[in-house]
Amino acid sequence: MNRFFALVGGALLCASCIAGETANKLAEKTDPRIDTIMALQLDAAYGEYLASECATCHNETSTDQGIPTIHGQDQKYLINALLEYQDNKRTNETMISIANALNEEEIGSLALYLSGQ
Amino acid sequence: MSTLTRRQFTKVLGLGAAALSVPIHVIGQAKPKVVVVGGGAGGATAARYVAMNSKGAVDVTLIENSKTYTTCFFSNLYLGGVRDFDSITHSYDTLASEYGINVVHGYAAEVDRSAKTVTLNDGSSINYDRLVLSPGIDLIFDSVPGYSEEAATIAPHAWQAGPQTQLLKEKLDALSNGDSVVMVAPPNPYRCPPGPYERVSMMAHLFKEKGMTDSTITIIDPKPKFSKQGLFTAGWEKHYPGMVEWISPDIHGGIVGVDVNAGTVETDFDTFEGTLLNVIPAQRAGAIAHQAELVDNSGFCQINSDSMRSMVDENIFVIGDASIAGAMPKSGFSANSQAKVAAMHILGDVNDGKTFPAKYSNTCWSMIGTDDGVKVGAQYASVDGKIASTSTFVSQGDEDDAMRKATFEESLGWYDGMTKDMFG
Ligand SMILES: Cc1cc2nc3c(=O)[nH]c(=O)nc-3n(C[C@H](O)[C@H](O)[C@H](O)COP(=O)(O)OP(=O)(O)OC[C@H]3O[C@@H](n4cnc5c(N)ncnc54)[C@H](O)[C@@H]3O)c2cc1C
Ligand code: HEC
Repeated sequence: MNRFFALVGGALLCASCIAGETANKLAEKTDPRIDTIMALQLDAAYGEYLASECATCHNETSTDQGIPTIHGQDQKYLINALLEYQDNKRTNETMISIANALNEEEIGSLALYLSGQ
Repeated sequence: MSTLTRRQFTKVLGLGAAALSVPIHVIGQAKPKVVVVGGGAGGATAARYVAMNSKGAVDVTLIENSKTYTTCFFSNLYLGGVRDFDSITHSYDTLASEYGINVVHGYAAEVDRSAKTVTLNDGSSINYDRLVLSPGIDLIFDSVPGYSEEAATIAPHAWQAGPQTQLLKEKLDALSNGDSVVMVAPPNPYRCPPGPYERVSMMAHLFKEKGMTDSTITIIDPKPKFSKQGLFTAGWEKHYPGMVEWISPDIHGGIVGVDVNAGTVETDFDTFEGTLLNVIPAQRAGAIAHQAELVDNSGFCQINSDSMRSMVDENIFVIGDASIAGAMPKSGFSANSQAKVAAMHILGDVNDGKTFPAKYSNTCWSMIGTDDGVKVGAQYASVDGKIASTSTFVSQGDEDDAMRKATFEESLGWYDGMTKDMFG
């Protein structure tokens, strides 16, 4: 199953996170940090190393059991999601802790690598 | 990139740059050899990542005593009747067929660190350029007077998964309403801090499902407190009222010994009697780590927190339960995470691989009831020579049922991901 469905101005969000929100509201909220991160010098090899940590839960051939697929997702979508965990806009404590341990360069490198999978 | 790798390597080992100016595979002319002892959470992951990321440039041998691997993780769910045994048992076939790993089933009896060889019980020996030890734990049976390997056939520990787990399940299934279980919990440090308490929850779940609500489970603990204590205690009250009792050292005064034939646990203040005893003794690193003289006084192995390299021998990496990994608990998740750091440094050493600052991660889920999952976890980094946590989380006491169910479902996804990450 692919959770890749709500695309608005580069912001893609999962169903559980956008309940009750309209597409317009989302467009207004597009995070300017996404472009800042996209403009950094990003390293896919670093992303690959960092992504090995994610693979313990998010495997590439995920059966989507309690944990969504992140390999092959859109780069900006991934950056946005990780920023939302950092901002506590999403509530999963595990992902908040994981995102909090990442800096902007790491988020960007991860998204670069994962989106290419 | 190779300059960086060699510079870091030199720094760690304190060797002169000259000795390292040529990659190992050029010196030896043949492919560099990486040997992994122990095909569990740490070892299987390390072997897979070295093989996968070197794309055939490194010769990887995995030495594992058993033909299949039964995970300790989710073994409590098997005891509770929530999973079957096959679903927690995994084969090494894909590691051999898809990743080209030379899987050798045998017991590694000896490491010769100067000759850089591992000798198996059958007398054969294998050379290595880099060695990974992930042997898990050995049980110190006599840490509980009266307990022994033989006594474990009557009062199983089931702290190494496989036949012991099946034996405990058989004995649990044979109990009737009103029968009791007494668990002797282990002292720190031991594998899976919440494990004994998840096990008690799953035993109680089994009894409740079978209508055996007059049965009780008593935990005699050598520790004054335990992992996720508040969550477990509240969960037992909610799901299994009156069935679970935890007895701390200030109540029992100290564990004097067990008599497995009589089914008794003697403490300073009282003797506890159970139809079934589950005795989990103290633990230390697996025997091979002791034979190789990599352990310190604690019975476990000191490692460099940047790389998981042994502090005693630069050609050896010790990962998983056998290592002293600072703030990380001994868990399958931790072992898997440490394996990736070790694999990266091994490829840095022998294959000019790029290395990055180590990051480690752990989450331990526990099932209190079906659809009632709780978790504790953290991210870690190497700080001042120690693995220290950089961000942590734990389930809250006031979470609603939907949240607890989501946590339980997450753990199913993790089990799936984790075992694929180990075995391909
Ligand atoms: C009841 C229970 C529940 C648990 N639940 C969880 C959980 O939910 N989540 C979690 O993350 N962790 C959990 N754990 C902990 C987890 O199982 C261990 O921390 C993990 O297995 C450690 O990995 P390891 O590689 O160090 O050792 P192991 O996984 O034990 O692997 C060691 C392997 O090495 C082999 N071996 C040892 N010595 C030799 C030798 N000399 N020659 C050849 N082979 C050898 C053994 O046969 C074994 O297969 C649980 C543990 C228990 C007991
Ligand atoms: C301990 C298990 C675990 C690990 C490790 C983990 N994740 Fe997650 N991840 C989850 C869970 C569970 C969710 C669903 C959370 C939710 O509902 O918000 C999730 C959700 C996500 C999402 C949102 C996906 C979507 O479509 O909504 C992203 C992006 C993500 N993770 C990225 C990562 C990255 C990058 C890493 C590695 C740095 C990582 N995760 C490591 C468990 C994990």
